Amino acid sequence: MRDVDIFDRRYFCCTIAGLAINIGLANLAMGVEHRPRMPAGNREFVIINGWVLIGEDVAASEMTPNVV
Amino acid sequence: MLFDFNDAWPRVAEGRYEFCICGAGPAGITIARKLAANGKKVLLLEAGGLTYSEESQNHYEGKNVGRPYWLKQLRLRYLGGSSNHWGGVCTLQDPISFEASDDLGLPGWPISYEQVIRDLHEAKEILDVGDKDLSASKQPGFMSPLFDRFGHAQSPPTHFFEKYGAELRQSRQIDVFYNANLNDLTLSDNLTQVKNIRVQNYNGHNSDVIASQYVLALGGIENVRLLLNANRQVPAGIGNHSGMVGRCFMESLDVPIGRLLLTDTEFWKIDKLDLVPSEALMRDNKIGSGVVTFTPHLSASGALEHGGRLRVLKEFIHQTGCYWPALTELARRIVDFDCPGDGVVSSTIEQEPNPDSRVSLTNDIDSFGLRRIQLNWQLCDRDLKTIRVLSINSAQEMARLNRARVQLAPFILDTNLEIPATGFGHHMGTTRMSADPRHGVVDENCRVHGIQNLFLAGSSVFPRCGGRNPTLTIVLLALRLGDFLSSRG
Repeated sequence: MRDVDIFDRRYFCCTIAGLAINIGLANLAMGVEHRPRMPAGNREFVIINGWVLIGEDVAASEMTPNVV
Repeated sequence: MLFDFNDAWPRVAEGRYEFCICGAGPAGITIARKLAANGKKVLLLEAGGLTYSEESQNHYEGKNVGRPYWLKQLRLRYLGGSSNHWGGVCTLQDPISFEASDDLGLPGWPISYEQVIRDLHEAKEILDVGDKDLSASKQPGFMSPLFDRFGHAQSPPTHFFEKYGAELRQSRQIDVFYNANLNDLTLSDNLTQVKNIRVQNYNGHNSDVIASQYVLALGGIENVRLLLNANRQVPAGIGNHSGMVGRCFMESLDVPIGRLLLTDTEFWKIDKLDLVPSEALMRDNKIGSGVVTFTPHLSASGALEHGGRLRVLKEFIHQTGCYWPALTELARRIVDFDCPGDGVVSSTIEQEPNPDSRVSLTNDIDSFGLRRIQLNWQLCDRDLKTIRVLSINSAQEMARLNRARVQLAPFILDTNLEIPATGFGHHMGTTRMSADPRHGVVDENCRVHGIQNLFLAGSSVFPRCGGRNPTLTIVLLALRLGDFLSSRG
């Protein structure tokens, strides 16, 4: 078995990408429960935890939280 | 010529002066120079010395019974006055502030905006700000119908005695006495003119000064203190016929509105964005004016100070469940590592004239025998409404135009919470200008109602403050008063 160089650029990038995906999934799970239901394309303002958002910022359904 | 009143106190009574000006800050020095330029003989008195001293500054100690305030720290008592710690922002009052408004309960400016800005070019030269246009304009990339870009210029800042000290020392028209503390005014028997004033040095020597015209340019708090202390002949104090001396103390309200997450890298290549409300926004909501400032953190130092580059972004995602624009923001930060990602939102908000917000006297006496100040600084419901409407509307415009997302502080959205507004050291409104003596202390020429030869200068005469830095308007009004006095002498 060959040695793994943890400072190898490809290995390092893959590790970071894997971490990012995991963090993203964790954040997704946290975020869905807070998310109000707003139709896509909505330009109304909505305030969540003090953040002033427009309807397009927030999700259209629980399964598609990143609708623009 | 420049004299130390501690040593040269007998000399002040030898001079024959047409004008006596008390207070050598921006207003007093400007009026003195204007009068001298018109060939008038002027006596300029300053209570403090050449530089800061605790002995002088301690006379600003007072009692605070209202909102938290720093009576001693937010003004300076030596030659040049508070210009010695001035930040240098020069701006004009909002023109809408000069319109009659029935919903304030008190009349506004009795003079027009055009009358105030008549000497704008000269005032800009005095304050070293060149000829920059100071009117509000549209910010490129932020075409909002509700907000315009704040028009202002930055002075070096001008410290008045540093700039004009040499001129005052050499002047044949102006005699400046420092360490000269005004401690009383005496009226004529019919109470319509100032007969003389009494000045005291730090060694206990007094001297009476006689001039044809007198100007108090002591600042928005000390003008009140002197008028109320001068109560030997008029028990309520000079000029206090309607009980208005000291009332309507106003500040520029310093309110931390919240924080922002940037969503447009290109747009935020500007250092910061200062927004002022449009006239339509103010009229429709019956609110005052102000300036809302969006300041991105500098990427390197700011990130360390504020808990890391991604802290606000992570909190945004967690608190809102929104990944757009958050994910695009994350991608941007990976690509453009050195750009700022978040920042703070602050504001300077207009306080309305409120008679319950007032300066009065305590029974505590200082070493000159003057009763000290008591400040009861209060906000009214309209002030709170102005803060909240400007905060929410500016945050909405940021989101609508996709330049940033703003998280408002809890006290903006929850009206049950107290807004932690502080002040900038702008003391205004306490001897307000009004054509009607019932509603003010001075007339449209800054003359105390009922006293023919006593004038007040500085921001104490502002009937409205407009949510703007006051120094340029102080200088403009001083030039106007200087011209008026020249025509009388």
